[in-house]
Amino acid sequence: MTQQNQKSPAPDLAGEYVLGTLQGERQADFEHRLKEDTALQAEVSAWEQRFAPMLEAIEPVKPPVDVWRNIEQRLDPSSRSEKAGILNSLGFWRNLGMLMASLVMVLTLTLFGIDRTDMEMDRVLVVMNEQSQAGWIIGTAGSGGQLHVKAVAPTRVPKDKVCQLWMETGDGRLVSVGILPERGAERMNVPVSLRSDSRFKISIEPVAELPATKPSGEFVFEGGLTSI
Amino acid sequence: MAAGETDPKTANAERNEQLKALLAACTLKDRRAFAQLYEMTSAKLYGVILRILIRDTWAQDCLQEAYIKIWNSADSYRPYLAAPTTWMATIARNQALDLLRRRRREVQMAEPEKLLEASDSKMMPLERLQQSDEGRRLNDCLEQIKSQQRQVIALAYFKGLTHEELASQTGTPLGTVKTWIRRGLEQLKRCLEP
Repeated sequence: MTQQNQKSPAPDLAGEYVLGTLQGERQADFEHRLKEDTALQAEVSAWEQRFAPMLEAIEPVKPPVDVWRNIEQRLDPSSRSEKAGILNSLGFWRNLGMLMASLVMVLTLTLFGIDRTDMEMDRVLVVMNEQSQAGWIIGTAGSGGQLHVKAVAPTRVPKDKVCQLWMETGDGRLVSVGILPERGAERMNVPVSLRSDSRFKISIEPVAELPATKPSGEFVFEGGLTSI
Repeated sequence: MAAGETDPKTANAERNEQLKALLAACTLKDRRAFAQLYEMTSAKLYGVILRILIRDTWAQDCLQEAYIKIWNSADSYRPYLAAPTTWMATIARNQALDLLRRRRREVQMAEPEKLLEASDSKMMPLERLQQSDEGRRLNDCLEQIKSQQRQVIALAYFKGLTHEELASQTGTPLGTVKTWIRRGLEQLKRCLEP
C-alpha cells in the first residue's frame, strides 16, 4: 500500500488523547504525566478547543425534567455522607485532650457550615494565584456581612509569610479583612459595609507582623465581585 | 451600539462571564447557582450526549452523571484554559464515550456481529459548523483532509472507537488507520494555527 510507504509523523499524544484513540496502557501513562505537567495540560486544552466547534455545532435538546430532579436528589445524600466521612476520617480525635477536642469541634462545625448545601451566593470573586489559576473562591450571601472563602490552589508563599486580604472602602481607604486560608474553607467578617463595587486586594505579608492600615509590599491580586 | 441591541459576540462573552461566576459559586456548594448553571447549559450538554449515545435512556443517565461530575469538580475548572461551555461539553462527551465503550464491550461479548452496524451518518454535523467563525475555520481545515481520514477522525471523536475498531469498521489495515489519524491530526493542527 502506498500509504504505508509514506513517512508517518510522530504521534501527537495530546491530540490522540482528546480524539479518544489513546487507550489502555498508553492512556494510563499519558494521564499520569498529565497530572503534573502543565505544558501537557495546555496542549490537551488546545486540542479540546480545536475540536470544540464540533460539539458547539450540535443542536441543543431540552432534557426531560426528571433528570434535574434525580440530580438534586443525589446531591443530598452525597453531601451528608461527605460530612460523616470528614468526621470519621479525623483520626486524631481520641488523641486530643477535651479542650482541644471541643475547639476542633467548633472549627469543624464552622467548616461544615460553609459546606451547607443550601448556601446561596449572590456575588463571587475568583482570586488568581501566581500562576493565574484560581487560587481562592470568595463568595457573599444575603446581607454580605461575611465572606465565604474556599482555598483552591492558593498562591505559594514562604513558610513565614501569609496572603492578606484587603478591602477598599468607598473613600479609597484600605482595611484589612484577614489572612486567606491555606486550605479548606473559612468565613471572614467584612470589616466595612460591602458595596457592589467593593474592590479586594491581596498582599504577601510576614505572619509575625501583619500590617493594619497598608500593605508592606505590592499587591499580588486585585479584583471585584461578580453578581450571579 | 444602541441599547437593547447586543451583538452576538458581546452576548456570548457576557454569558461566559456569568457561567464562570456560577461555576465559582458551585465550588462554594451553592445549589441555587448549580440549578441556574443547569438551566443555562443542560440542553447543550444533552444534545452532545444524545449525539454520541443516540438512545435517550442512556443519554439521561449520562447527563445526570455529567452534572454530578461538574458539581464535584467545579474547583478544577481553569478559566484561562477553556471557556466554561467547552469545559462542560468536554466532561459530557467524555462521560458519554465512557458509557458507550463500556456498553460496546458488553455487546461485543454477547453479539460481536452487531458491532459492525453502520455508523450514524449524521455524526459529523458539518453543515452547522458554518454558524461560528471557529466552526467555519475547522470546517475548512477538515475539508482539506482526505475524506477517509476525516471519517476515521469523526468516528473516533463521536463514537470513541479504538484503532482496532476503526480498522475493522472501515475495512482498513490497522497500520493505515494509525497513519491516517496521525497525519489527519497533524494537518488539522497546522491548518488551525493562528
